[in-house]
Amino acid sequence: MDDSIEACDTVKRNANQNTVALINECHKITRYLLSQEPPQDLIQRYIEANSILFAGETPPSDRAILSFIHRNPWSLPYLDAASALFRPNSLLRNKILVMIAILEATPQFAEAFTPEPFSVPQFLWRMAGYGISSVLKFSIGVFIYPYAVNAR
Amino acid sequence: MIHDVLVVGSGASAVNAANPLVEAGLKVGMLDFGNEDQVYSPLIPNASFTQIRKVDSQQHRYFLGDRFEGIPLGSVRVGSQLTPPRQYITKDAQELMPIESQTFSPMESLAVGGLASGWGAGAAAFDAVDLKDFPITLEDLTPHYEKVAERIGVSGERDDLLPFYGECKVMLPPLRNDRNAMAILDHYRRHRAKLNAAGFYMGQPRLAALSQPYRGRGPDSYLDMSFWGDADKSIWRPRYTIKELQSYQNFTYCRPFLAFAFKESSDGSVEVFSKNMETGREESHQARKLVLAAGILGTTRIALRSLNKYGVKVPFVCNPYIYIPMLNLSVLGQLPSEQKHSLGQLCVIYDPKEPGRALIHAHVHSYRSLLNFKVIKEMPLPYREGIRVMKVLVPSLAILAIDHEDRPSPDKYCILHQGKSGRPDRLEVVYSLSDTVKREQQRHEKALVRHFLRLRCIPLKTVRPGYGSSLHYAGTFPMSREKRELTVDTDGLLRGTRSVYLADSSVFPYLPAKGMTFTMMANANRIGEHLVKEVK
Repeated sequence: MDDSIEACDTVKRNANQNTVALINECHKITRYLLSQEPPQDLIQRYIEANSILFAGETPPSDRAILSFIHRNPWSLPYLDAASALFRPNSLLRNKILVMIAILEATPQFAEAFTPEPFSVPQFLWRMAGYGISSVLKFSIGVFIYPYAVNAR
Repeated sequence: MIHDVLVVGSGASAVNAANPLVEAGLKVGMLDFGNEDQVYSPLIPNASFTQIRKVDSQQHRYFLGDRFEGIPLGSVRVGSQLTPPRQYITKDAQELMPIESQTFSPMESLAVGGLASGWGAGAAAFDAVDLKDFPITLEDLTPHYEKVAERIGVSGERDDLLPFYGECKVMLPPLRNDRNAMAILDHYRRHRAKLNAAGFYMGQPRLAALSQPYRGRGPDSYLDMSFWGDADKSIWRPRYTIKELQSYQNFTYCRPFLAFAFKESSDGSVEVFSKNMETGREESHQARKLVLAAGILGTTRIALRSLNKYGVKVPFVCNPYIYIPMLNLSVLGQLPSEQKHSLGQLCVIYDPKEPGRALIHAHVHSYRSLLNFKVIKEMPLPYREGIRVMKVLVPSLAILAIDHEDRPSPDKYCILHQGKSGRPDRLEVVYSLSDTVKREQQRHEKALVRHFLRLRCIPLKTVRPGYGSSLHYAGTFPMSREKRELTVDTDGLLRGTRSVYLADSSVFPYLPAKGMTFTMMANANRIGEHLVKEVK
């Protein structure tokens, strides 16, 4: 009887820890993507999506990357950039994609995905900017990625 | 109850085969599994895509799905256009009708209206050259094209594509193009002489979508929500025709039944065996004639099983399909049209002017209402940059979707394997193209893209979603004048039977590049009219 209560407590504790980790993750990803904080209902939606879409066993390399980001939140953009090239279907990329989808399907954030008019020089300027920042992130990510995968 | 004619299936062919039979007063039954969307369609407001994005707090439910089934994780080969409100179209199919294939990703439907419930509404007719290798001629099909067009409502323009699509007397005016497409068309008109000389022709698509009110439906309200719902009923869906047929006393729509076999009696009548999905019991329905129009793979399964042809190869064809996202420089920096439809905006016929004439048929779509995240996912960029790049690119993004013709070859076939220990039979699909054919197709794709450069469209990437992605499958029981086993005669009668007719794309001996659906419907109408004479 005592054993089963203890086991039940452990499950609850793990579930709570997991939820806290997902809340933190949701904040980090939204901050990274849009430089904003997610409202409560979106956090809830993100947790729900995780429980449905990522319920299976996590490969050790994916787990290592995620826990590295939890310990070092600054590394998220660089590991995302590296994963885009090395492992586009990794858990990290999938989790960020889920958050993008949730944000895009929310009126409050629709503007971040809605086109706005611009001139050709503005277009070139913006594309150059996105290109340079992508290359920079990738260049740093290439160095961090192997370290993050092997860190435990 | 004995039906005069029993139609299996409720898709584009089934309803068009049933229509003349019902109108002639015959007692017609339609046997269907009949899945429908009960969850999402009531949630979708009758408002424009941009309006919904700004105000509807429930949009995540139908855009992403209650179980987030609208978020494509991993590599998606087929069916990315099936949004959560459309996913009922493929529901239960894989479980009840398993298909195995290493090379081919097929899609089947057990929905009311079959795959045409999510159809892109392309209604281009085959011309005499397309039908050259069919045992029927354009003259045989022309009156049926007209009847189907009148039934479903077809819009289009008499433009440069008229010689390829043929005349359609009952055609409605075309749908309005968006800004993106208009800019491409303007450039085409400026360079028309040179482009036509090179075999490149552009015009408005023929669409089974309404530009004006018609038979209690439409017109298109340019809400750009066609991937999600059918609020204005502008795009024809088979269920509209089923509803019309249900107003006749002599028509019975029977569901939920999964038909699996037929047996002919000595008097020529047919018994159809099916599983009642409500009770779980097997039931049989009797008819004087049977029309199989259960979608080619469904029809193939039923026919092979009934003829006890397990392990026998039957031919199979499918239009090879690729798409190329392009940047339309003419509209760079402009906002997209607020009001637009979601279907193909323009059509292109490319005639490489080589002996044998393998035309290429292409559509130009503007991208918006399938949401940005599905494209962002495919970009090899950090996601933060991906969001911003997509925001800049989306108004000038034009998707060029290319279909090639397909002919039977020893590398393309289906085999039915008997299910063991109570498991359902498995249909195996084997499909591959020879290197020579692939090289030819790629050469023509490159030539086509070069012409788009002249129209100020820059290709960004060629996406090859894999075999099966066109959803245009055909050819398992080809129509033939030769009396060969596992073929049908020119009236659709399955050889070896006296009363079983095939009315879907299983009877096409090969597939021209143009979408097959409109021809499939016209042929189904032709078979239906033939049966009226037979039964009466």
